[in-house]
Amino acid sequence: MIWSIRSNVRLNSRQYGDEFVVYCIPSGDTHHFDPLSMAILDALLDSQKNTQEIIQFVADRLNYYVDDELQEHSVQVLNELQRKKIVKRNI
Amino acid sequence: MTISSLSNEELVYQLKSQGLCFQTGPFVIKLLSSFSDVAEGIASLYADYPLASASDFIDFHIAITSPKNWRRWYRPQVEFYFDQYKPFRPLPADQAFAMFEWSSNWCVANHMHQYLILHAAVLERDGNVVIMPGSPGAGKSTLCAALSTRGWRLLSDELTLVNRKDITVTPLPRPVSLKNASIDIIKNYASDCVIGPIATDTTKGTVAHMKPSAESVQRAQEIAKPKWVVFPKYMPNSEALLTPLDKASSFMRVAENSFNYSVLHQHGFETLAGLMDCCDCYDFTYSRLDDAVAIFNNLKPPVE
Repeated sequence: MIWSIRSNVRLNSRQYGDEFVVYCIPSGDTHHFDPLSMAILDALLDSQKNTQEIIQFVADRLNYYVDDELQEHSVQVLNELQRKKIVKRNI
Repeated sequence: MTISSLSNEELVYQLKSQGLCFQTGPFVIKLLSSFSDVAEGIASLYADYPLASASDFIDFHIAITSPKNWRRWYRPQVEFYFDQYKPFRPLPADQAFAMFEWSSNWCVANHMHQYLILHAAVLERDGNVVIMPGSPGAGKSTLCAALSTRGWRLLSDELTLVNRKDITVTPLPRPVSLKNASIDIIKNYASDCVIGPIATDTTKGTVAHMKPSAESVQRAQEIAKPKWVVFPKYMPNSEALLTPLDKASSFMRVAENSFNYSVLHQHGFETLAGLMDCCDCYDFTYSRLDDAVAIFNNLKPPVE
């Protein structure tokens, strides 16, 4: 499955410790994201990626290893970001 | 010249005829009203406010009037007009002064988008500003009133005006709104405080307003730099407790307590981010005002 940031979306973020506040254009919504969510967004900033590429990026970024828990959480976050109309699934 | 320079007759005449023009913080209000409660409230709580000069731009044309119908005689009512528009339903006539206070807050919150406007009390001491956002009933105004009688300069008890360019706070010192038990608590805490007309059976219960100090009104043009965001919460019988808060959570909570964050779009985000950059953030629970004031007096500004 290929994921990307929606073409009309621009993000403005601030980091506070290991937490992030992200302002989303054009929705005008402000989101409070944890490091996992932010790493997933960072993974997609440059280019679209498939789910496994995203998870590997996240594991590298967070200095973690790819396991079932990380995979499951990452997919949950991707679905949540899709619900918030920030990312989309490309078929 | 201040409102106190007018005789009672002159004040009533101006309110009834051409309108009383006076300065509150950065704004000029022109107020028309024939209600004696409004005249009494203005005379007692706004005595130190500067009268506007004839050349001043008037930001808000406000009229607090009687409906021109049978409700003038039967269960009399009061209406608020903003430039010829009537945005709210009438209220019972004995809430006339409270209606002026609420409606003038509404004018600022809905129109002055050159500021990021927070629903928060705000005070200053030694050049350092504390912003206290709070939902209704959190004890924000009670704590604000108490602090303002113990050496803190009142900038506002309801509307924090954050300048978008330099993240300073512009004062809007106005009478402090007290509700229900808070009225007697503050009367006992500061026996020399001046309380205006009391409105009963409002949607918020019994409401009265406390006069701001003359100093806070006279220094209304002095902006100041925010250093702390404190979310107060009154909890009966609790010890005063200040708990550090992470800035990301604080950011979201302040945004929720803003009147125009979403109106300002990206500018709202940038301004709020700037505010978070210069402030330490805390949750604060209290029950005794003296303990609360002692803790606020010991707040240390963040290291820049």
